[in-house]
Amino acid sequence: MRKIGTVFITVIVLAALAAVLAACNGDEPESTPAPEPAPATPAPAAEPAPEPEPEAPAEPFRLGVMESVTGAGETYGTVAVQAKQMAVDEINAAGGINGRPLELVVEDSKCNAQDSITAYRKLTDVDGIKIILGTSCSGAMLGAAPLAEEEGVIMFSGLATNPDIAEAGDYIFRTSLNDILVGTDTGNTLWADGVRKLATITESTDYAEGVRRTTVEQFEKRGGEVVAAEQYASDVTDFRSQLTKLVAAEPDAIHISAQAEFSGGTVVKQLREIGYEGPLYSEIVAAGTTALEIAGEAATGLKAVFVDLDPANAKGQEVLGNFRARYDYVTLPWYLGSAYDDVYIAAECLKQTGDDQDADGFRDCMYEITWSGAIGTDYSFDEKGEVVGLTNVVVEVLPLAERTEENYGYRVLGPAPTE
Amino acid sequence: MIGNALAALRDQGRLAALGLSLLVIAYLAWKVGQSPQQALQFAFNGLAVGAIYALLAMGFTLVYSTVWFFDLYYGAAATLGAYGVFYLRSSDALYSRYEVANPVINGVLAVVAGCVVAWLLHVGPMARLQPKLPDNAYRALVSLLGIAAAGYTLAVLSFPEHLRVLLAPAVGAAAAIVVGMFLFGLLERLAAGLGSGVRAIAATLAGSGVGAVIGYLLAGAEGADLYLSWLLSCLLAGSVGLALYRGLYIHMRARAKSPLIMLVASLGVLLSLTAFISIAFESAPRPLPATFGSASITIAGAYIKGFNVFAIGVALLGFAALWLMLRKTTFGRAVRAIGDDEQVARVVGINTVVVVSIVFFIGAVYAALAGVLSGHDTAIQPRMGLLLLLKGWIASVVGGIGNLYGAILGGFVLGMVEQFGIWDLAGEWRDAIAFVLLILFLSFWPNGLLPRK
Repeated sequence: MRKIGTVFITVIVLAALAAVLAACNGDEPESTPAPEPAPATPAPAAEPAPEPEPEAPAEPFRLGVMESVTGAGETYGTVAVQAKQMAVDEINAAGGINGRPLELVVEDSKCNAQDSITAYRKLTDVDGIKIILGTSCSGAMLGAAPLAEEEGVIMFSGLATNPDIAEAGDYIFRTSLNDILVGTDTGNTLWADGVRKLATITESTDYAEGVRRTTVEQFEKRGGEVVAAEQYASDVTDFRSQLTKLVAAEPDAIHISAQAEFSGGTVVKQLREIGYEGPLYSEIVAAGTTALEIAGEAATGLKAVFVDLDPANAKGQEVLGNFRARYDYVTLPWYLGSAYDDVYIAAECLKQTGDDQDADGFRDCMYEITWSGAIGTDYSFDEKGEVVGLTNVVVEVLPLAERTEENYGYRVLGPAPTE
Repeated sequence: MIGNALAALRDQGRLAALGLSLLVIAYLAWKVGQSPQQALQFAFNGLAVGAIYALLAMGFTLVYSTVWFFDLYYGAAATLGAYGVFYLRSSDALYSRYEVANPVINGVLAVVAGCVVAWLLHVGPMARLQPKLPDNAYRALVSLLGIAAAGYTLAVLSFPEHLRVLLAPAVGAAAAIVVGMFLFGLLERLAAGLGSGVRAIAATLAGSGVGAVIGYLLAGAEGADLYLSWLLSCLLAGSVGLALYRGLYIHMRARAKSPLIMLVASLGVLLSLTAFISIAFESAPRPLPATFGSASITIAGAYIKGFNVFAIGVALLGFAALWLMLRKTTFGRAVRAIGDDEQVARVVGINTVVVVSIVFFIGAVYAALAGVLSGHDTAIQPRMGLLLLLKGWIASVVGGIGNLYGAILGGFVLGMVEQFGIWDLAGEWRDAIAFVLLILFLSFWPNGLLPRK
C-alpha cells in the first residue's frame, strides 16, 4: 500500500514537472521583448504587396529584399523596406519597367550573419532570385556576401557601413558610405575650418576608436597636429580631469568620438563647465537627441559630420515629403533616401538587361551607371562596388531655443569639403 | 628574530615610501610652478570630487568605528539615494522620457518605512506609554501608526508629481514639533513663573503656527520638488539601512564568529540591490535634472560649478553636524562608548541595539547624500555605489579610520591626489592612483594621517 502511494506521488510529481516545463516552453515566444516602440509604424508585413497592374498582366521583375525587419536593427530595416516599397509602387504606377511591373520579395535578415544566410538561402533556392537589395546591418551583409559572391548573386545594400564590405567581392555593391569616410570627411572639415592643433577625447570602443583614427590620419595628412589625446572607459561619468588636460594643451578645436550618446553629451557639457569656449567637433553620436538633451545649451555650435540629406537637394526633400505623407513619420532620412535610390538604380539596370536572372549583366550595368537621386547627384560605383561622389554632411547644433523635433536640434551646413 | 627583521624591513620600507612620496610631491610642486593655471583647475576639480569623498568617508568611518565590520550596504545606500531622486523626478523633469513608476518598488519602500517608523516610535517616544496601556492596545496603537506611515509613504511615492503638496504637511509637522519643543525649553528658562500647562499650550500654539506657515509656503514653492526629493530619497535610504541592521545584521552578528561573515552578508546585499537597480532602471548611465548651481563660476581663471561649491558647503555642514552629535550629545557619547567596547557599553546600560541602528541610519543618509550630490555633479549608474564605497573607504583609511577630522581631510586629500596624479598619465589611471594611495597607506601608515585616539 505504502509502495503504491510512493509510486503514485512520484508519478504525480513528474507529471506536474512536465506540465510546468511544457508551460515554460510555451511561454518562451511570448517572453521575448516586445518590439521597440521608437517608430510608431505598422510592421512592413502589413503593407499590401504591390498589386499587379490590371492592364499589365506581364510577368513581373522580381527583386529580393533582405532587411532587419525585426530585432536589433528593426528601426533601420523597417524604414528601408517601407522606402523601397514606396519606390516600387511609384515605378509600377508609372508603367513599370518596359511595361513589366516590379515586385519585391522581402525576407527578414535580422541583424546577424546567421539569419542573413537563412534569408539568403530562401530567396535564392526557393524563390530563384538573382538580385538582392540589402542588408540593413553590416554583420548580416558580411554573413551572406561570401555566398552571393561565390554563386554570382547581386547584393546591393543601402545601409551597411562596415569597411570590410568594400572587399567582399565583385557582385557586392552599396550606396551606404563606408565608415572610414566619416573620419576622412571630419579630417577635411577640421582643416577647412582652419583648425591646425587638435585635441581628441575618445570612448574606448571599436567604433569610436575607428572614427578617431581615421579622422586623425586625414587631419595629419593635411598637415594638422594632434596636441592632446585622451580615452575613457564606457562607464566613466566624470571627465573633468581629462578634459582639463585637453584644454591645457590649448588646441584650436576638440574632437569628441563617443559610442554612447550619454557620454558624448556629458563630455560636451563638462567641457563647457571647465570653461572651454573653442569649437567642438564630433560624429553622429554626440549630436543625437539624448546627447543634446544632456548637454543642453553647452552643445550649441557643436559641428558634427555624418550622413544626412543635403537640404539643397530637391529630390531628397521630395522623397522625404512623400514618405511622410504615406507612412505618417520620418526617421533616419539619409538611410531612407539611400534605400529608395537603390530601387531606382536597380530598375534602371533591369531596363537595360531586361532579365532579372541576368546577374552578370546587372553587375556590368552597375559599374557603368551614374545616378542622381535622393542622396546625391552624379554618383557612381568604383571597382570595389563602393559608392563614389557622395560625402557626409556637416551639421551645426542650434541654440537650445531653436531646437525642435523636426530639425533634430541641428541644421545642415552642407556637404563635407573634399579638398 | 624574524619579527625583528620584518620590523626593520618595514621601517626601511616606510622610509623608502616616504622618500618616494616626497619626490613625487616635489615633482608636482615643480609642475605647479610651470603652469599654475592648470594646477588651479586641477585643485578645483579635486575639491569638487573631494567634497563627495569626504561625506562618504565621514559616514563610513562613523559606521565602521561603531560596529567594526565593513558594511557594503553603505555603497548601495549611495546608489539608492541617487536613483531615488531620479525615480521621484523622472515624472516631470528629464523630458518625461524615463517612465519608471513601479507599484512594487513603492510598496516595498512603504513597508520598510512603516516598520522603521513603528520601531522608532516603540523604542522612542512611545516607550513610556507601554507600561500604562494593556499589551494588546499598545501593540495595536504602534501597528496603526506604522501602517499610517507606510500608507503616507506609499501615497508620496505613487504621486511624485505632487511631491511638494504631499510632503508639505509632514515637513510642516516636523517644523512644528521642533519649534514647539524649542520654545517649551526656552520658556522654561525665561518664564519659570508660568505653569507648565500654560507653557505647553503657548509652545504648541506657536509651534503649530510656524509649522502651518512653513507647510503652506512649501506647498506653493515652485521648484521645491527637486530638493524635497533629495530629502525623501536620503531618508528612505537611511530607513533601508536601519531596517537592514535591525532586521538582518543584528541576528547574524549575534552568531557570527568573524567580521568576514558580515562582509560577505553585506556583499550579498550590495550585489542584489545593484542588480535590482539595473533591472528596474537599465544599466546605462542617466543624467539627473539640472539644479540651481549648474552654471560655472570663474575664480582666478579656473572654473568651478556653483553646484560643486554647494557640495563643498554640504560636506562642511555634514562634518559640523556629525561633530556636534558625537561630541556634544548623550547619544554621541553612547556611540563612542560602543565603538570602544560594545559589551561594556551594554553592561553600563546603553541600549546598543537602538544606538547602532540609528548609527546605521545616519551612515546611510550620509552615503545617500553623497550619491545624490555625485549624481547631480556627473551622472548616475547602477554600479556607482561600489565605486563610491571604495572611494569613501580609501578616504577614511587615508585620513585614519574612526577619526572624524581624518575623514574630511582624507576625502579632500584623495580628491586632490587623484587629480594631480594624472597630470602626466592618461586620465584612465585615476582610479588606479586611488588604489595605489590605499596600498601605500595600508602598508606603511595603516593608522592614516590622523590616527584615532
